[in-house]
Amino acid sequence: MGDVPGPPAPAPPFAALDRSGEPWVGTLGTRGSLRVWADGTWEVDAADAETHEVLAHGWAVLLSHVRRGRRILSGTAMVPPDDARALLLSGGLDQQAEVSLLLAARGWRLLADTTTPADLTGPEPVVHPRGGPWLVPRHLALHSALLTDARVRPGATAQLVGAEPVREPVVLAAHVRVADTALGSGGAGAEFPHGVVPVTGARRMAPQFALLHDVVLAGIEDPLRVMADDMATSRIPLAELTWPGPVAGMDEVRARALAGLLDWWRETVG
Amino acid sequence: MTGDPVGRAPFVWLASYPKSGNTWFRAILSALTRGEQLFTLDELSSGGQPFGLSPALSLLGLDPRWLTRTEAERLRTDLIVLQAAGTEGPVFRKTHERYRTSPARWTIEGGDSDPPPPFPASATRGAVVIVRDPRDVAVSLAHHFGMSLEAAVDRMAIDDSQRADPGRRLGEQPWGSWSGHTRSWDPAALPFPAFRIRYEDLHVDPVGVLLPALTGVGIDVDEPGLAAAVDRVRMDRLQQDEQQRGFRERHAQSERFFRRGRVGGWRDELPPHLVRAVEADHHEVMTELGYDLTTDAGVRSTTARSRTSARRHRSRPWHRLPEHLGVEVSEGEVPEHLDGSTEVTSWLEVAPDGALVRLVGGTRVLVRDGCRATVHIDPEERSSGDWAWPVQGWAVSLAMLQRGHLVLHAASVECDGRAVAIAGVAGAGKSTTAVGMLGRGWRLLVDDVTILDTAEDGVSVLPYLRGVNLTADAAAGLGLDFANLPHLSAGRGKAVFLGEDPGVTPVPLEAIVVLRGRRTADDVQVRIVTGAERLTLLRRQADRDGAAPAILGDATFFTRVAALASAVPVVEVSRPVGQWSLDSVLDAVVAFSHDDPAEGLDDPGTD
Repeated sequence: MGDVPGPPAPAPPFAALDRSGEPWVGTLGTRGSLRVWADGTWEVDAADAETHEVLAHGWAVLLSHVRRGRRILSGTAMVPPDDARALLLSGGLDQQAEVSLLLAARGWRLLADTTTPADLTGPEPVVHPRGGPWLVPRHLALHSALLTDARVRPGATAQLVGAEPVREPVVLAAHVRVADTALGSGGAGAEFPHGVVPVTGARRMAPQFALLHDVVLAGIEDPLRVMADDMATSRIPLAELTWPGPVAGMDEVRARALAGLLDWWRETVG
Repeated sequence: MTGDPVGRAPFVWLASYPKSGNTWFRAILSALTRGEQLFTLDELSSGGQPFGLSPALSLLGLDPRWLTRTEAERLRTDLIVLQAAGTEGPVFRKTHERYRTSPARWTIEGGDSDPPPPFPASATRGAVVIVRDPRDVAVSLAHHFGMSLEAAVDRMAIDDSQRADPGRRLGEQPWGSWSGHTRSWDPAALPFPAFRIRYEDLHVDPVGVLLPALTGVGIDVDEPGLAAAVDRVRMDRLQQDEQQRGFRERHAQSERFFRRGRVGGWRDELPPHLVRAVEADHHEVMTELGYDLTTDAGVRSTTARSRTSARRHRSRPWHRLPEHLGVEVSEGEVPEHLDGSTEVTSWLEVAPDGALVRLVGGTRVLVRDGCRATVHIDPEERSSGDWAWPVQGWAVSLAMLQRGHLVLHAASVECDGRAVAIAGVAGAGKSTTAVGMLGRGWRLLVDDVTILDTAEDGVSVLPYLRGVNLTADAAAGLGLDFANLPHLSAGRGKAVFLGEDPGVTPVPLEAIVVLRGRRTADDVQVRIVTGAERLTLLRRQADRDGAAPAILGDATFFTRVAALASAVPVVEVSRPVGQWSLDSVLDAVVAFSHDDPAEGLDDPGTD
């Protein structure tokens, strides 16, 4: 490009993570900082209790898993009653939240919401409790008795779910990608329900690849390594669940879709 | 800035209003970089927009759902800069956002004086901006989001932002209106090199249009290579790819992402009133970009006035009455009947502690203490929205009666600080006359519910903003584009016109005009009403189906009406039934309300 000027220097970042030394050091503006060591231990310095919560639950716990060699999967992990295996729900955040809340109403328990730490090095993928409270987006089309209507903090939009999560790691037994449809919103979408459709062959690649969140944090520069890690999740059954779009008053349709999911779980895993 | 030498920053913003060819452009880029290799549509997402949970988790391990909106805006800028630091350019990044130098609503959301730039200069090499005829955009947008064509056209006229929700995504993603978006990405005004491409030109000569833009931002490409890439992503091939493999950018509300990609398809698919609407909303920018218009300035002005009214109407929640009225409306349980009530009509009950109206369709309104209205909406009525208008009228009327006001079944207009109430039975033409007065330089104070404030020095009208329901003929006569006004539900044949906010200051009432249709009349006739007839006429206009005497008490009601009759002149304007001679009626109203209200007429006063 010859003598063209370089870009202007960026302003100091609001959130920064220094991974060049030990421990990793994260800073959130002038409000606080955290340190996370290789063994997963961490500490937080915060100006106030609210910032402490953000740094601890919103940041340190996830980095702690990464530092212990775990991958961060983009999905919500739920564990059925009297079982020690997990189902991973991926897809839109609203859809993950709705399905997991309905499962919770049937006795399932949360292991990790939205981002699920996983150990992909063994013969079977193992998913770990994320730690911290269960959050879902506000303004869900679904009503649930578990929703507390309390925001995670003033000014934030996620809300808290009042349910006790699982505390122990479990084997990841199945993966369902939840895809919403145009049903009920006047759209031109396909007829509902398709129910639960197993996904096999080449069509597995996109939903599996979309699971992996922490490529940079995990220090993975080689795409083949990502594919290799992805293979760990390729051994578990994968299905697509069609789900009503963000429209209130579709409880019956949601119940039918959920029944299809539970049938598939029992037939495939249980 | 157009065509200046590019800097070393990596990102080239591929900016467009949604459904303007952005994805097609990215498909060409993908085909360029992958040559003849297997190409899957889902891989286009590599040029994803700079928001969402994933980048925050991938780069920092931070869960943005814990952040406030302003923190999320800062994080968004950080992430773009962070991604740029590890990237060798040029790299295209798709965006449908309008260009801006600070986050939308930054100060409103509590941001400080140092806003983070949504498109940071340190990461930006340049931009390629794609524009498309907004009439085609509207059709494509409707199909993509599964919305009506009307909703798509309305969306394209809205200049506000989509609300940010860190629970779902990072920061605001304001498209702005089509015109606002297009102007924001004007290459001449941007602080970095930018190239604007018309979608229509891209169809005619893709290689000729793309080559200078791509080389201009530093892409190493030659003409044969670009021609091969363009051929690889012909629309039929994209559709075939989507059919076979799916495409993650397909919206949940649409059957497929790649639909037709036609130029000028709006001529077959966009109804005439929406063509008028798009052109009224965007004619200036369309002209600048060389898109031919089908309407003249007069039509666009009429349509624009109607659409302004429609936007004003839709932006008002039905339950939020003007604050100065002091009436709170909420949705809740309302009994079928009131204990200890008097049944004034089959649908109206009055009790010492409240008044209840049962509207056609099952909706009920309960008003208590002159300040609280509770509404039960029948589920089948909810989608029509037709209940909102009578609710607003009855909630206010009953509350004001409970507070001791007299309320006329009349519209009121104002000129030079003097108000004229226009009364009459249903269908007499009150609303049409009132709106017609706007064209004579008058101001609409209120339609249908004229609240009177009686004091020693005279009678005043308390104004409040409320829609006016008009027939198609009345709208046309008033220079409004009926098809572009919000319509009442099917079969009602009326649309709502909402004028400007009349403010909160009471206006002295100069006269009352009572409209009347007469079968025997050949033309408009004006007659001063006097004596007992005036009292009778006003009692009828103030009765409100019997609600007023029931709530105020017969004696008080009669005293108030008598006081009104003695304080304000009344004129009856008759017009031939079946002939709507609006201009003559307006002339009569204006003449009667001028300095000499009884010019040519005798007003012997009230006995």
